[in-house]
Amino acid sequence: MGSISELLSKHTIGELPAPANGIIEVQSTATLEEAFTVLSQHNILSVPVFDPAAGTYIGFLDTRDLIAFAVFATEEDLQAARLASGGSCPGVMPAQPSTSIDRLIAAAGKSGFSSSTATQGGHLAQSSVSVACASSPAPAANPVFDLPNLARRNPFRSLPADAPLLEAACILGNASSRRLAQLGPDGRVCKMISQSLILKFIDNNLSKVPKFANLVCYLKNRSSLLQDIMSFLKTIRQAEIEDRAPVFSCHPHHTVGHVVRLLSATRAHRLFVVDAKQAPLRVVSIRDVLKLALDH
Amino acid sequence: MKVDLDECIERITRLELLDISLINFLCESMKELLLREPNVVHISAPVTVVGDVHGQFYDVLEIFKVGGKCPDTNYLFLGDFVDRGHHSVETITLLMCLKLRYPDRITLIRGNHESRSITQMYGFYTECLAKYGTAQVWTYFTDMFDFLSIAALIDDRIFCVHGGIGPTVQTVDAIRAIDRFKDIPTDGPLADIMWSDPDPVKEDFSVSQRGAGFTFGKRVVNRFCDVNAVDHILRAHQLCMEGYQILFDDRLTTVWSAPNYCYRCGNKASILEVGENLERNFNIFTEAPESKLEAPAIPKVVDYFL
Repeated sequence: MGSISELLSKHTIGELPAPANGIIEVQSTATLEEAFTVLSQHNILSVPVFDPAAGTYIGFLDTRDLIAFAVFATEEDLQAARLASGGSCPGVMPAQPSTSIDRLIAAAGKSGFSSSTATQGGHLAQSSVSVACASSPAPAANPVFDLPNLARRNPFRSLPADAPLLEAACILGNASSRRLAQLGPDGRVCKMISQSLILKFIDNNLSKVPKFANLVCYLKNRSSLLQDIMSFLKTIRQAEIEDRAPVFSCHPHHTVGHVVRLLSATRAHRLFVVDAKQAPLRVVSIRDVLKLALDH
Repeated sequence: MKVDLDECIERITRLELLDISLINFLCESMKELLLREPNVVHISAPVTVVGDVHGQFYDVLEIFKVGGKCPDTNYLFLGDFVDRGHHSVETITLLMCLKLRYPDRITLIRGNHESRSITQMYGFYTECLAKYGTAQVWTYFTDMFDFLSIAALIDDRIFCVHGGIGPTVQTVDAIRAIDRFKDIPTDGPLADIMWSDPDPVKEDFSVSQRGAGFTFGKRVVNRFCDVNAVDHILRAHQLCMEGYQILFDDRLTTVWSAPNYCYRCGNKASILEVGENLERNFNIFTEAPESKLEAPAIPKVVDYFL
């Protein structure tokens, strides 16, 4: 056996270890606060969401969805404050620009904003936290921020136990698929397949791919794993058509709101906090934001 | 040092590299010239506007065939002269020589790739090292980039910039006040001008997925045009498969001048001819025959360890 692809094609996802503490999942009827609390308490990045009425999984809830919600909720909060300052409006959320994310999530859940109903143009939309007053133009369509709709942003994909690891690796290699599940005989998730799990498998089987193990690279483009990281990054970055900033960063004076927006826009997991000379000071991550939201 | 710029232009057109000391002299001369140019350069129509060219030298020569030679045609280049393509050195050397030779006939404004950190990542640094055996040439060029103007106004009616606008640069006066003589930072007004993009779906500013700059919508564009008494915004920075894109009820245009970008995108390119009465005409072209023979700028990247 020579290549990683040969190795992965000869083994199945059923051979990967199941999680020691079992599978964590949430039901689609949970509130956003309950769901994000599950992520935080179990120190996990995402969780499958199960719809008991339909008897099926509808997607994954990801910590990144909290970022998206925070950006949306903050913008809605500011919009509400603007409208409130111009006169009374039915159903306006409290005009408190400093409202914490936690209170926004709780308010969205308690006031019925999270139920899925159609938006009614020109009137208060129960399906979202957006506000429409009769005197203002109908708002642009807003995303619905409840658990089912957030979960559907991350499509649920699964493979059976006898699916080859190669197939799982190809799916996860596609940028749009970050999560993959293995379903058990009962149709419930029994294992979450991640890139790191596959990497661990490769690590445990390096003896079967001696060329790769000896760092004589078996990448098709023949470039060496011994290349320096900057050369590697140049190759990766130039493969992308759209330019991106070389480093995603923020400054100490930037607000948490700015960090949230930047994490959401770039889909990065973390930002460097840099000084005026671009020297790194700290790192701020999605998990930090999640802790802030739930502990604040 | 006395330099025959016509000879330099002739040599570089034949892809004959100029020696390091000559590059140094030309860059220093360029800096002296650019020091006298304001942040926002005023240009009179007619002028032909060119978007990103990204080191695609044969396609730059094609631009001069299609649009007319300089100085017979006035040109405004909107930045991103280097990176990605195989001939960034030749491209920037040619444009620099043309600017020095015909300073009033060609205007070069800065793009986000005219920056140290970006050129280290996207090819220009590597190319300088490969062609000259030293990074010193890269240093000369990037020092010169710090002096490039950052915007232009055609007859005070058409605002031209590489990327776009941002929350801190919503007036032309604000752009005039920027300290431009430095590397492009990752945030702030200079970054916003170099990195921002229009968003046809939105109305206002949003943080950009590029990690620098903002996206801006129709309301922002209308407000900018009204406040600054301009009719139109011309910019580059984004690949357009048809060579150009017009947005926001004809108030903003993206011009893209690198055909078959990265030798693999299969796109058309355009240059925008702005006539004496500010009428706009797109001249669309495809890659030069010599460019067709160029290998892709980077080897095919495997998705995974497969």
